Order: sequence, then C-alpha cells, then structure tokens
Amino acid sequence: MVFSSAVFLLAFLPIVLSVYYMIPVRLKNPMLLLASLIFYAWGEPVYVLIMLFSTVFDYGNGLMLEHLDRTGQPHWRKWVLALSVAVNLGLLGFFKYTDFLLGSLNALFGTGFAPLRLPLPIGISFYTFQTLSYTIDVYRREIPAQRRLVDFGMYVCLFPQLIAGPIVRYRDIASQIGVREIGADKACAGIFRFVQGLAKKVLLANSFGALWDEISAQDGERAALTAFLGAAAYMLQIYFDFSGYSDMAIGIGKMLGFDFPENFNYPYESRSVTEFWRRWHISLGTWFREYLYIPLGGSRRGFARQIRNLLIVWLLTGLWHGAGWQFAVWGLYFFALLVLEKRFLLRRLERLPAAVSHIYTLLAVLLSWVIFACDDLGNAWRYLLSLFGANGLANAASWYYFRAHALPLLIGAFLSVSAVKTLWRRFLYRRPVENHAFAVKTCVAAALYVVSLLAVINGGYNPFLYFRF
Amino acid sequence: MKRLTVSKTVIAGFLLLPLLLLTVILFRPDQAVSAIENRTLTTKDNLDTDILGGDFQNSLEQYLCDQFPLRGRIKQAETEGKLLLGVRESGGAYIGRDFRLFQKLPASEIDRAACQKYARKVNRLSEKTGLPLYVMYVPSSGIALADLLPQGAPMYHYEDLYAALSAQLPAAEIIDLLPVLSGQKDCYFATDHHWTTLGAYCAYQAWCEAHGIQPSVSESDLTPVTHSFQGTLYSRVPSGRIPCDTICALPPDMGLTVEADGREIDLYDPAALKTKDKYNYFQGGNHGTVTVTNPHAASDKTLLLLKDSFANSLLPFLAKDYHKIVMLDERYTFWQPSELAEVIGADEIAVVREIISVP
Repeated sequence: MVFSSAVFLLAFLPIVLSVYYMIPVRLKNPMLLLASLIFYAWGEPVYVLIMLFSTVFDYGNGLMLEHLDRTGQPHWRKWVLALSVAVNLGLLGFFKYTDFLLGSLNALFGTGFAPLRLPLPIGISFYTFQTLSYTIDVYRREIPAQRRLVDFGMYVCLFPQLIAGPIVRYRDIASQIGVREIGADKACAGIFRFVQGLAKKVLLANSFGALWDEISAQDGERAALTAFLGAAAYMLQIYFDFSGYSDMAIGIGKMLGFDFPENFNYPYESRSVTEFWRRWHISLGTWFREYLYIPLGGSRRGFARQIRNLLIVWLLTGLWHGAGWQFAVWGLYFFALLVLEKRFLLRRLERLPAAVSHIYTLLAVLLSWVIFACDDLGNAWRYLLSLFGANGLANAASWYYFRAHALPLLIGAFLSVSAVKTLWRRFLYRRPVENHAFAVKTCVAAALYVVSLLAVINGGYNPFLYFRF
Repeated sequence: MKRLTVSKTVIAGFLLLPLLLLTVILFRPDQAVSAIENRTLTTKDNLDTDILGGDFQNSLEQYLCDQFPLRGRIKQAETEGKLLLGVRESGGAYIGRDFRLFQKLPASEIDRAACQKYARKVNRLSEKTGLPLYVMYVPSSGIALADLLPQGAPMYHYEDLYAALSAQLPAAEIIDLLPVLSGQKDCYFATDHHWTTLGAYCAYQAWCEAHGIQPSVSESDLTPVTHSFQGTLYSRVPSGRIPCDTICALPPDMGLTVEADGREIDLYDPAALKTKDKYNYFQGGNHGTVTVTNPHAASDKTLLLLKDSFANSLLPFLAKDYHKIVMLDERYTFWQPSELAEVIGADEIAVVREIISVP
C-alpha cells in the first residue's frame, strides 16, 4: 500500500488510528504489528513472508548474541553476526542483484544465463538495513536485545517508514518501543506534517514527474533548453517525492507517538556536494557511515585508505538505489566529486561568493539526477548530450515547455529551500495573525489535505519511485 | 487546556472526514458509468477477487476512486481550474485556440516501426494478389490544424512519417490528404480526434479524383443530425467552456444492405445519438467486418477496405460507387486481409486510417 492512495487515505489510516487510540496501551504494539503486516501484505501478499522471516531471524540473532555473552562464550558472537549479515545481505542480494549480475556476466563473457525476473520485494532495502543495524548494535553491546518478539516485529515492520524510509535504526527508537508519549498536541503536529508530505508528493512531485517522463521519452528532437527543463523537473520531483514520503512517515510516527529522525534538510540550498549529502536522505548516509565507512577505518588510516573506503561506500550507495550500472556510475560520480572536494575544492568553494558555490552544487546534482533517472547508461548519455546542446539549444517545443512550465518550476524551486519556512513562520507569528496561528495552520492543512485527496481520487500520474531501492 | 481541545478537534476531523467519505462510498448505490469521462466505472460487483496476485487490491483502489462522491464534478472543477490558469494541455489533450481540443501526439508516442511494418504487409498483399491498392492516410487534427495548436506544442513529424511509409508502399497509389485537409477547421471535430463528415467528404473528393470519376454526392447533401456531440477529447477536458460539435450525415440511402459480422445493421445508428459517444452514429461503432452491397451502383466492383474508425464516416460516400464494399477492422476480427480478399473476390484494396494507427 502506498500513502498516496485512496485505500490508505480513506480507509487504512483513519481506521488504524481510531483503533490505536481506543485500545489500552498493552495492546498498542501488537495492534501496530498486525496493521503493518496488513499494510505490507496489501502490496506484497507473498513477499510478506520474507519480511516475517527476516524479523524472526534477527530477533533470534539478538537473543543469541546476549545468550553467548551471559554464558561466557563471546568468541562465538562474531559468527552469529557473520551469519546474520550473510543471510540478510544474501536475501537482499538474491532478490535485488541476481539479474543484474547475470546480465553483466552475459554482457562481459557472452554467456547465456537466463534472468530470474523476480519482482523486487518493496522496501526490502529499507527493512534489511534496519534489521542489520539492530544486530550490529547488539553485537557491539551498544543496545540490549529486544526480548519481546511482538515489539521487535513491530519495529521491523512499522508501516510509516517501511517502504520508503527513513531508515530508522533500532537504537533511535529503542526507548520509544516500550513507552512513548501519545498526546493530542503531538498527534496534531503529526497530522500537519503528514499533510505537508502528502501535498508535496501529490501536488508537486507528480506534476513535475509527468513533465520529466514526457521530455525523457523524446530523443532526437530534445533541444538543450527542453533537456534542462526536464532535468530540473526530475530534480524537483525526486526531492518532493522522497522528502514528502519522509514527511508523511515522520507525521504518522508522531500520530502514533514516535519521534523518527529527520531525513531531509533542504538539500538544494547546499554550497557543496559534501554538504548536499549531509542534507539528503540523512538516514541512509548515517547508516553507511556507522556500519560501513567507520568500520572500514574511515579517514583514520591515511589518505589512500580513506579513498578506498570512500570508493566502496559510494559504489554501494549507488547500487543500493537500484541494480543497474547507471546507479553504480551515479555513486562513482559522487565519489569523484567528494574526493575532489576533500582535496581542494571545498576550501576554494568557501572563499567564492555564495552564488557561485550554490550554482556549482545545483549543477553537479542536476547532472547526477540525469544519470540516476534514465533507464540505462545509453539513455543517460544521450540525455546529457542533449543537455549540452547536441540537438540545438532551443526549438519551438522548448518554448512551449518553457511557457507552460517555467513558472511552476520556479515556484517548486522556491518551495524546496528553507526561505519558504522562514517566511511562513514570519507570517504566522506576527500580528495580527499571531493570536490565530493555530487556526491559520489548521485551515491551510485542511485545504491542502482536501486538494491532495481530490488529486489522488482524480487519478492521473502517481508513480512509486522506490520500487528499485 | 483550550489548546488541547482544539488539537483533539483537528484529530477528530482528520479521522472522521475520510471515514465519512468511505461510508458514503460503500453504502450509496454504485454508479455504473461516468458520462463525463465516457467510461465504465468499477462497482462492488466487478471487483476482482485475486488477492495473492494483487488484482483485488488494485480494483478496490479503483473502486474507491470511481465511486467517490461528486467525482464528475471534481473532474470538471479540475479542468476549469486548469483553463483559468491558462494551462494548455490536460489528460493527453492539447487545448488549442478557441478551446479546440487536439490529441497530444509527440513523436515519442508514435510506434513508427509498427506503422512501417503494417505498410509493408499491405504492400505485399497487393503485390501477391495483383490487385490495385489505394492508401489514404489521414493526418491527425493537430497536424492538419497545426496553426490552432498551442504555440510550439510537440507533435510527430507528419512529412517524415509519410515519406517513410510511402517508401514501404511501392505498389500503392497513395492519396495525399494533407493538402486537402490542411487548415480546414470544419474538417475536424473540436472535441474529438476524428474528422468530421465534411473531412471525410473532402477525402472522398480526392478519392474520386484519383479514380477519375465524378463524386456521386455534393457537399450540400450533408445535413446535421446532432449539435451536441462531445467527443473523446472532451472526456479528458470536461468543461463548460468547450463548445459542442455537430455531426452531419448523408440522407439515408434506400436499397443498400449492410451487414456487420453477419448481422444486419444500418449505415447509421440513430440510437447512438442518444448516448455519450455519438461518433458511433456511423454503423453503430467499429465491427470486425462490415459488408455494404449496393445494387444500384454504377460499377460492379468489390472493394476491400482496411481501416480504423476514421473510415466509418467515409463509408456512406464510397458505398455510392461500389457494388460491394467489405470493410475490415483487424482489431476486432481474426480475418486476415489476404484470406478475405480471396473469399470476397476483391477487385481493389484500400487502406483508410489515421497515419499513426496500426491494427
């Protein structure tokens, strides 16, 4: 089930919340687990079994790690961890990368392995990383193992962040699993946050996405201006879509009493690619840093080792987003930029006027999204060529797109930076609005909710972008 | 304390509004069709039952959207809002000058290879049978009336496509309709992608010229049968600002026998004028095969007409001049053109279809 669907908005969410608020505390976690399983099984009626297996398996691993500690056999612990990592990554690898691997082998050696063509279980990359974080943290003795299977199951399967993040590490919400504050004010803030995310996804991302789809489907006749508008549209689509999903997840979390970590912090106002990645999909960056980059040695063992570590991290970050060479290239592209920035670029960027570093970052990110969004490297290459004027700078169609979409794109760009939040607060907390700030917020949220709901009902373009993650 | 009550009200609203809507959807009698959108709606009775394959879930989602209260009005409101904002396209239709609607057909949506393959197939048929082949490709309204499109709106390249298809058809006589239809506003509907009967008549004139005969009817014979046609494009951009179209037709012709897939019909189906899709006035819509026999025709020839829906309004004109016409729509039958040509003893083969359409 996705959030931007009638079944979720009209039935699932209101019913689950109503029941959740009415039942006694001790039933809330089991009820959430059940609701989450229904949520997942709605879209993946078969693959829900894989998620259940992962849950039970890692629950067992956590208990085993503690048991070995208690019974004085700590030398076995690393084998339990190894088994857990191998099985988790094995499942992820089998479903996500087998065909990619076979295809690459066939292309390289002319072999004829038949692809499996298994559909990817939705959200597997997200929940696998969540369960891995749990086992690793228990292994490191940073958190105690969870003894209640239902509570652990609820954490792994929790529907708000299950299919599109953020990646909530167990330790981030360990204390909230047993006891959490469920209050009207917090739930209300959650509703506002949810509506904000829903509007981002349904009203902004979907309309920008339709433009990208149209322009990326053209080939020979795509002039540079058209290509630029298309790439800008995708850049805004992925931001509003992804951060919208995170807003919705965080918002539902608040309605349920959870505090999930933030996932986006106005990435498009960064002044360097390094900064961009501190503000974009923060929970993924954190995960790779905590569980891969630092264990590999991070930056502590000399520059050469650091480069190697960065290379591994970014190659895998790229491939995490999808099993295809364009994602590997996308990751390596960022690796190259980040290394350049670490070596010298960052220092220079800091001395340059802010406008220059902003433009540099935006262009670097724009190009990366072209590689990311195209179906394969060939298409990405042709798109990049057209962006640099291979089919001319502009034609009649470019101006058609420009007239129709330049203003919406500009508005989208404005809504993607923090200035809009500052202005909104300034408006809310000044006379004469100040005394009615809550009423104003409620009215705006209600209007956004109704319009978004109608947009979902009306149908039209409503893609789920994370089916490859 | 007061603030807390307000928060609780917001939560109650957030939970009760959707539940209220859900109740209305579930307990109100289902609507079977949406006249405005020109399609059947999902009802409780035709929900899919396959849960493991996910079809039930998809059909339930569709059901909730389709049976949402005031759905038609919402669709209309969306369109009005877009028109007010000056949006020039919606739901795959361009909104051109005078609120004329055009099917949005950028080059990327055209399956050029399939068009060429079909042209090759027809050409082979003519070569194999030795029968003369006439091809009339109809340019889409956005091509013929390019001046009325929103400025610069992307469309496929007609000339390129025409040249590419011509190259596949050495055996055919191709009747170029672009010069005939270009700039002729009255030859296309404003709310539908088809040509008007006048458009078909202009093509008929070009047909007669290619055959060296005089047209059997004149433009003044066309009489309006309805002034309230809102076509398939209107369904995508439903709005009070879009004007209605007029459908014209020849006066009914006595003495013709018309058969569709073995069932007797009429060249015109007046019942269709009472429905949403009034273009079905012509033969009641598309059929696999339509056979028209005219004992009074000047010639005794039999024509095999390979076609899409554009030919439906052309058929009454051609019927004047042929003893027998067998019209084949390959989308709706298993008949192969070559078999049919033999069975009916065709003397001529013709292709009449929108240039971008393939069976």
